[in-house]
Amino acid sequence: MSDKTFDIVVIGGGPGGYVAAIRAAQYGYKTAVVEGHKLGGECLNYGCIPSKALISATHLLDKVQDAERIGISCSDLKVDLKKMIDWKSSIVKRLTTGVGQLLKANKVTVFNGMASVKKVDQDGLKTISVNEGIDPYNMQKTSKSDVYELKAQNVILATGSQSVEIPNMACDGKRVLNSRQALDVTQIPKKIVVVGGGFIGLELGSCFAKLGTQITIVEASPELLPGTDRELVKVAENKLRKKGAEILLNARATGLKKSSQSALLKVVDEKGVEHNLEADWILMTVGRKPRTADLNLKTLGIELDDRKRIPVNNRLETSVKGLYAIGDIVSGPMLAHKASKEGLVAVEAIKNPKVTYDVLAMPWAIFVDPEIAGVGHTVESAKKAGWDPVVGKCPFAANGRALTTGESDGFVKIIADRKSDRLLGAQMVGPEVSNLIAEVASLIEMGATASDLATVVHAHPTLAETIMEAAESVHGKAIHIFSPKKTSAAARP
Amino acid sequence: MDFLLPDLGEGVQEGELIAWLVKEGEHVKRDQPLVEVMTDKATMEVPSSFEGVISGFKAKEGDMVKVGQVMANVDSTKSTGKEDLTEERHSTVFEEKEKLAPKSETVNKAQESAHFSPKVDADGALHVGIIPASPRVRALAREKGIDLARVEASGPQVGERRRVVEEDLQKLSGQPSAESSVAGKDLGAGALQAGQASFVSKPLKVNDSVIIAGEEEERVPLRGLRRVIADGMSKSKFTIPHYSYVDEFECSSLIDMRQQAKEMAAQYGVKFSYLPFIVKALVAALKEFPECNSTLQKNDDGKSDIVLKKYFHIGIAVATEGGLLVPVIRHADQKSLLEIAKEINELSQKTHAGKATAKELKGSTFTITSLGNIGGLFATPIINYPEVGILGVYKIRKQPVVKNDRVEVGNVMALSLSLDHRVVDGAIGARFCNSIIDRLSKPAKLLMELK
Repeated sequence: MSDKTFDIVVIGGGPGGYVAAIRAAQYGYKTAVVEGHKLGGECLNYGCIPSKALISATHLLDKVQDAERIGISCSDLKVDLKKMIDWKSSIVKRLTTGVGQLLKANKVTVFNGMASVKKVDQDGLKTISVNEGIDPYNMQKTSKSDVYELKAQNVILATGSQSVEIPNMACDGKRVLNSRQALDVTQIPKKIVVVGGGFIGLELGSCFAKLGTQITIVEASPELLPGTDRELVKVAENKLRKKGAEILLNARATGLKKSSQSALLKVVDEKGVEHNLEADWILMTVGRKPRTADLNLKTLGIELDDRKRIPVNNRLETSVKGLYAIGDIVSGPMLAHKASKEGLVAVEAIKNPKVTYDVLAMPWAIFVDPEIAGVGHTVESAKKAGWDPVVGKCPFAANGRALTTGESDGFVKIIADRKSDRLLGAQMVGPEVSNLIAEVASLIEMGATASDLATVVHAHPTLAETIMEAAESVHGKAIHIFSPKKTSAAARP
Repeated sequence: MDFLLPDLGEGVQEGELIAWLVKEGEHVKRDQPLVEVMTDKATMEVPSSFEGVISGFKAKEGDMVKVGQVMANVDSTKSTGKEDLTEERHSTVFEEKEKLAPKSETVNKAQESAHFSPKVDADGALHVGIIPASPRVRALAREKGIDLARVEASGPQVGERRRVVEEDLQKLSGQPSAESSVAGKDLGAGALQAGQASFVSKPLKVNDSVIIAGEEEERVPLRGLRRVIADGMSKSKFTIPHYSYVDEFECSSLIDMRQQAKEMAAQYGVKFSYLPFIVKALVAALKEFPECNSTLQKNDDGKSDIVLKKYFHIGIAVATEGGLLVPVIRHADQKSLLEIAKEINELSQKTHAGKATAKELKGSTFTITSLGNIGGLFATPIINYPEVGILGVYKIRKQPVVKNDRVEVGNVMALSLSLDHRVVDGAIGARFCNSIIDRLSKPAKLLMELK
């Protein structure tokens, strides 16, 4: 094999691509990754990781400000934003460098450039063209100009997604910012308007609210975090309002004026009344779209779906044999861990023709305050799927550990099947629920029952006891909450 | 909207999905045949009762589908309009819900297979929604081609079912699973060392470690009629203690009689073989030996009865392209030779064409199997369960026979009877055979018995 011929070439070095490449290398495949921007992708560089750093930092600030009631007071509390941003950047750097080192240690060759599959030979050999002169993240020219080709029998597309921009409201990094730009601001703004009440807008919006910024959230649909259980969202929404956030629902941004000092956003609310919102800058978080436009897919005979995603089979293989697609560019939620899982499945599928994607319960977490997380079925989706769901609930207010951390808002909701008692899903809002959700995810995949979960001893005093109690509550048997007698087929004497 | 397996009549409760006649995503019209379903032994096409787009299959080829079960999701209001991307919400939860919903608007197998539902899955995910099993066990089952729904599970109880554990799969595949997973682990590096430069293009099967390289095999799934035959034969052979009894007879008189019958029948447009005589001779013998026209039935109390049938439905084994089918001449005792000949013609034609109904293909009390002119001296046929006997008839051969102490050229046909020794002892079997032969070697006797 020449130095440009590989068993597997992965296009995109994000959480889907680099994970796939390392697993491929572990199996002994000669593997390459082509990344045109920065290893680690959106998640490590501009998404999950840096946002969580700022969320933790501002959460700490919030706790300190609130510490007087537990006997800790602090005068002259200051925020050095530059230092905070630098700290965040150092974590990003550490992780992305780590990814590079891991790829190197596994003997994965990394190419830098914009890549697409140029052609597929009769025998399935694919030619991948790499252009080092363009950074596909922003389509800007780079300092390099090399153009070359790679060859591989198997190609995994993992190019991820990018922020959607509203026409005429392009992100300039000064008055109109996307989520990436908002992570590198140099000054705490006095007032910002967040356009889009999805999880990115709320997570970042909350950070600024805690830094003292006056925030206004403009959401086009009738609710924040559309699609999420109202009961969960309400808890976080109340806290956000307490922080002074203004929330405009059923409202649409219709126009924008920028001056050297501020931005003026024209918003039409549900009654058709026009508002002019002035802010230091506007945060645009209206969604993300798959990055599938420049992959030369049409030439290969691949038609995108109505959301510009690539159709794949249950082995993540496209209609072209040996060409796989994973992560944000295929259907399903845009989640880093979903991309990673699909990356692993694609490699396993290359190795073993019988492998298929088989995940019952994909967990998700939204890092608002308090956190919201879920896995598997909601009551509604369980009903639709043909189960007969029963719900068990337990509030964190009934949990000793939650009270001792001063964060007892929220609850855990466990969904089980009435007849079989099988665990179907869980939704939670409250402290650390992004970590707590993992227990339920494991048990769902293992085919466990609510009784199994209720029977397992949970250490005291921990937040996880709330999950156990919620599972007990499925059968009306929680100790720390009084529940009137429930009739449940799964209840045992 | 869901496409359910409709009531197929004739008391049919379930059928096997043989083939989808449409594709996922296809726009179908009212009355368009959607799916081929085999019930008992008849195969039928199920037409559409609606117009719309098949958004997803809920049952796959080879599945047993119950009447009323969802076989596919149908979108009767499918829009093809493109969504405005700027309006798209990327809340994880929003997408998650879409994923878990039974109806997926885009054809995406990866997500469909992940349906966590008590209904039967549409593709290779093998009932993951119903069968509790760990991810590792599910992956192993898929690797070994084992349908989790058919595994006898020994794990802890989850509702009505038990969790499938790894040992349950090992029992089925007969090899420790650790072996296959170790083989899997070593495959990458091992294959490279073996010098297979482009092993990536030919994915190795972890399971095939016991097969010597270069020996080609093909796997044909046991489906449809083949499966029905396989199940039926196993049940018969492993339940019934068979014995076979063979005799032969000089059939010159039968040949003469049949020749006359053939010419007369031709006037009615009926093809007249030897079978009508054999059917009549068999029925007469069955009346003489009622235990041969019976079934052995186990009752709820664990005790068994021999059920003697007072009706005579004779099955005729027919070798069709798809496999063996047995159409039935009902009340053969009440029909004339000509009527029987006519019915054999019609039933055989329908059966070959795959048009025989489920009713026409079941309910026999005794079966005749004929190899016709293919060859052989005789065979030891397998009883058509739950009957207690089967009669094999073979081609007429010219061979020396001794008549009046002189060797002459005779016409000889062999008969073989396989019988259920639980019900019919050897001596009775032999007499039963004599009784048939008596009527076939002297066909006048058949006429004497006519009422």
